[in-house]
Amino acid sequence: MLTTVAAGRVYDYSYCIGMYSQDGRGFWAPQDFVLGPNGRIYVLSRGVEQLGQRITKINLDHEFQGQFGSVGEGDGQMVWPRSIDLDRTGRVFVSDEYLNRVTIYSEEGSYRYHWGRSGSEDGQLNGPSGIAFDSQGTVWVVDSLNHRVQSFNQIGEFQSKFGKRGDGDGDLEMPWGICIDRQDNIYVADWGNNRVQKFAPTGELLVKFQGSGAGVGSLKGPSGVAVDSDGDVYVTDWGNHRVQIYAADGQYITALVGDAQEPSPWAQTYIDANPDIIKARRRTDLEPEWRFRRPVAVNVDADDRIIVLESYHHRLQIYNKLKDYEEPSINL
Amino acid sequence: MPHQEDIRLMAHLMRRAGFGDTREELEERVSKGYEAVVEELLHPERQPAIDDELLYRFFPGYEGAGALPINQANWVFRMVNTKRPLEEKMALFWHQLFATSNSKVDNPLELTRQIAIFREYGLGTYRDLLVEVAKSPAMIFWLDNQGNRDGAINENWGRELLELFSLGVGNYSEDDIREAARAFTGWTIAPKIPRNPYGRFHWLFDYKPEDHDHREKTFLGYTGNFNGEDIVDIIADQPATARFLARHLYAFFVADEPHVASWNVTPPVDPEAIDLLADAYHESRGDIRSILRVLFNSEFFKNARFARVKSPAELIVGTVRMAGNYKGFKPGFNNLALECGWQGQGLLNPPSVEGWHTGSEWIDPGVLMRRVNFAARIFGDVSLPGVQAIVKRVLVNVHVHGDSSPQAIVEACLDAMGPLEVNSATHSELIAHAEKCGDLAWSTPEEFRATMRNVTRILTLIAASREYQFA
Amino acid sequence: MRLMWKDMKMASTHKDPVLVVLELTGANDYLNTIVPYSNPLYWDNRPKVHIAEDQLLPIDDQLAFRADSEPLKEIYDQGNLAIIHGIGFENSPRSHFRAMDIWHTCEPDSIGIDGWLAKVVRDLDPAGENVLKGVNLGQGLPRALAMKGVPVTSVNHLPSYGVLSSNPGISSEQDRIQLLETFARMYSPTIGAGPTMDYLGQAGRDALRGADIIRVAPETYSSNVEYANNAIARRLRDVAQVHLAGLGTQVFYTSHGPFDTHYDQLGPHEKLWTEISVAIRDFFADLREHDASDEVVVMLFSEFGRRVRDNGTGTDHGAAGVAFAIGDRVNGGMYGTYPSLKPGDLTQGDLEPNYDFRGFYSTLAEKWLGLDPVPIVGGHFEQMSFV
Repeated sequence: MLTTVAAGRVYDYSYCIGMYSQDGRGFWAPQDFVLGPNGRIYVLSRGVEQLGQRITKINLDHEFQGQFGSVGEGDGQMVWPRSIDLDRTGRVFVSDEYLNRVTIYSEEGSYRYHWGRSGSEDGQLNGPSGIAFDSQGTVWVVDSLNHRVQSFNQIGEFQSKFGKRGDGDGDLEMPWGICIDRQDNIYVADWGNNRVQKFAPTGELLVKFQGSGAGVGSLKGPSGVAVDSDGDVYVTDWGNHRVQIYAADGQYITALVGDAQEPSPWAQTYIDANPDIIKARRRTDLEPEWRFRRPVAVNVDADDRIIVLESYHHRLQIYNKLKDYEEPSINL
Repeated sequence: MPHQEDIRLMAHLMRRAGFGDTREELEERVSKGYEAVVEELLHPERQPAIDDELLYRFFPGYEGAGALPINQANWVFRMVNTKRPLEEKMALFWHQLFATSNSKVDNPLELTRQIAIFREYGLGTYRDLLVEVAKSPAMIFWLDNQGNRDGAINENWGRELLELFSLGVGNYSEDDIREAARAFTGWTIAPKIPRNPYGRFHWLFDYKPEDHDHREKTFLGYTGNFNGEDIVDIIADQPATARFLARHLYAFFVADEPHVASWNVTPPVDPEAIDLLADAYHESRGDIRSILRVLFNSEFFKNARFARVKSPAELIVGTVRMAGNYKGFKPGFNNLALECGWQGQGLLNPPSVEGWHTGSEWIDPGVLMRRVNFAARIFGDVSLPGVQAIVKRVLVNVHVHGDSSPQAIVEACLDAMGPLEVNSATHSELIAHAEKCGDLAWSTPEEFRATMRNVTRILTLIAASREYQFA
Repeated sequence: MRLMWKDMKMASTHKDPVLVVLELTGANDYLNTIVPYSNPLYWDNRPKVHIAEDQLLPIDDQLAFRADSEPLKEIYDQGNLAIIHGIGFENSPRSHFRAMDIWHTCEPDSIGIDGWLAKVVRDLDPAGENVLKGVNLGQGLPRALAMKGVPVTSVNHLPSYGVLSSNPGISSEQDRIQLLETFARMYSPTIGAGPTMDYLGQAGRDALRGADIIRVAPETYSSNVEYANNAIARRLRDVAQVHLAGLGTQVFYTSHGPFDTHYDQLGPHEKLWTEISVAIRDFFADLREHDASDEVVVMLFSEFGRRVRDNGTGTDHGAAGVAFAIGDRVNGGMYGTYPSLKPGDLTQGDLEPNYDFRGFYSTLAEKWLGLDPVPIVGGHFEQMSFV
């Protein structure tokens, strides 16, 4: 449904951005994105094997503003980039699960430096995936194959850690994405345990998001998480191809499943150039195309717009959380 | 210590029913007993499958990939890392038999899905597999069945079904082809969402009753209002099908046979073996698992060591499995996949519906150079974990027996790399080379490094030998 | 054990005609290669993906080269470059794989096995005496050169070509020679080893022999021409080296790409054409320096052209394309006609091919190489007079 109404919340589908592209305008198996100033969006493409890794600069008006980063092990390059975030000055931090490092670029994408060493000691990394900044400028890194979360200062000095492998409360199993709310609480997508856990900065477990025992509100391999201004929590339910929404206390609210019935302007240009594709699209049910497939990351902007990134469909879908929604007449 | 002969036999089984095992893995298997291992191989469902969710978390671009090398890499990853070696080997077998090529299909993702059919149905009955293959969109497109409609018969699928997928030339008439094709009218592909701008979408099988020829057909002496599945039922019961499949299994698992195109004029290498396998087909009503049980437990199989030239996939996957340099998730599986193609076996892209020409036809001077260089480069790289393990085993062996003669070193190398068997001429060349290297010593770091280098060179030469080309 | 190249049977003399085939892999954009700049439909259909007016090198009042292919324009102006318009075949598939197979096998209606250039090699050297009669510079073997019983050679990197090359376990050339000697003895004939072992032994000895012969090429080569440092320049320098070594090679194959410019076409396409144009200029300069350009024709082709209308940043798969033939003995100029861009004349939005590629092949096979083209391309096709 283009408009989803549940538990006093209204989610209204707005539009989508992007399309598949091995290079340039578009994304390829994107894994994460971050919202910058002036409507800027940085989208991190994973590509595949030795092709397509990059950070694409766009804005909410579909403007392609360039790209940076390339495949390789050299300075400023990446092999398995997974997560991206900005520090308070707008510098771009990117984690690389293969190189076990975090690379820092300027706002426009010039390489600055990188840090991170392989291993399982304090401050060492094995498959760093989600990264996020707290209000103090500390960067939190999901150290996924060490099944923990570690924090660092901006030059990569170890600060703290929490979590260990397991399925008990507070344990982690190949955790993936991360986000931090305005109170500096930490939400971790606990991929292998099919749940999201909310921790205090000390590592103390606060809330688990995993739905009820009967399967309502459940998760399968959650990948990303975000929190809105009301404290509602959005989880990209990667294995179930949907976004699950929970109240702050863990109560399940509803799901979004993707509504991109209208191709993005970039995609429409592509379709328009190919008469055969136009014909073929008119002969089939396009629903699989507009639904989410492998939603991998979610962010909420200052206006409580919920923006979802799909890895398989190489696209962002944008929903508004309406605060002043009036019900339509029921007897229409 | 397991008996050396048991290790040799197990190494043979694992080269054929899988992609080879390391010496350590072989010892573990031998401790279970040969027949128990055969049973374990025949029941892949008892071992964990490759976890697709994990695979696509690390390789998101593999899922729904449009590029041929990435789809090939997806398969090579599975061949290298599977815990179900026979399942993957059977997929390769069926791909050779039901050769469907991206050169025409131009949709490697659909070929990947066809390979998944082989994994799922490859050890069940031949009848069920044939039905699934007939519904495979890649196969439908490959053999033009989407154009096979009542009133506009396209015989391509019907012909190949009889000639290359079941009975073999000489066991049916042109009329049978036409009648089979009529029975498969209306078996087509549903309209699909075209590729891009949002990735790839699957083709789906579609049966269109309005395009089906509902009139009576006469096929191989049977008459009725047959649909496709009825044709498959009749085919699966034919003695010619049993013999045809038996010969394919023999050629793939036991010993090289001439190419399928010449089978109607060239008798089998071992007619008794074919009889035995064909009997197993009849007794089990075409149950592949039962036929393979007979095959792997037969004397003719156990005695057929090094009787086949490795296919490029076997050579490449077997070599990196031994060297341990592609264990788990890491970049570069596409390079292995490309190497398969450069050695003449582009997976998902066979040269024609007749599959690859195998045996010594894999080899020409240029390809041989590639094969030799590929394997020799890997066994020459002492930084690789599997190569280190082999060198270590050689040194331990030499140390334990207190014999560091060139003979003992070469024996230990052949054992650690297989065990492999080489003919006496190759053997004496290896020993002559080992003699030039001098005694092994490791009392100083320099001596140890020199020893590592010398052992690695022997491994390199073994990998470069003619014998290494055989499975 | 090392055999000298003079042991090799020379199947041809120095001045036999040579064909160098350069495949533009991935479907080159015809409209942005030879630009119909005075046709308003070009500008209408290419709002984003066009060659700017100040980047055009007009050939006449209708068509132009792109500025980055200036070296080709110079060759054209010297009368040594033929442009073959509208090339392709009927019912052109938009699939790279299928289309490339058709170009390689000349079998548009069935799955072909044998390559057209393998047939050329067979007819140039019916006894199969020279494994270097046909040489591919690249990985593996293109289907165009593949045919049972026709030995050809594939060289990925000329300087390191050979058995046991680039091996991390081999620390010096002396080491390698020692290992190669053992290798040669391991592959020497063995009594009672069986036919497959015998066959492998022969293949191993042939591989050693071929590598020994071809090693002469980089060893004896010297030139004042400095090629650029990119893949196609290196490939063409390898071609020059093998050609100048006089090993009897008459068919060379190599490729460059990727031309599959669906996205962000302009920059990469410019880079490709700059690399190719400069490499071809340097290649001919090199041959001329050695008085060995007369006997060489280079042909360029791509599996199809690209869609007339751009998709915003690139172009998608099309049909008709353009081919070039280049050489001192080529009668330069334009051949055939540029297909119409009018909407009613397009097929699925693509330029309709008006010249069968097998005619182009036939011309080269018959008029340049002196062979009967019919068995090579599978029939009679309209030839042109560019050689």
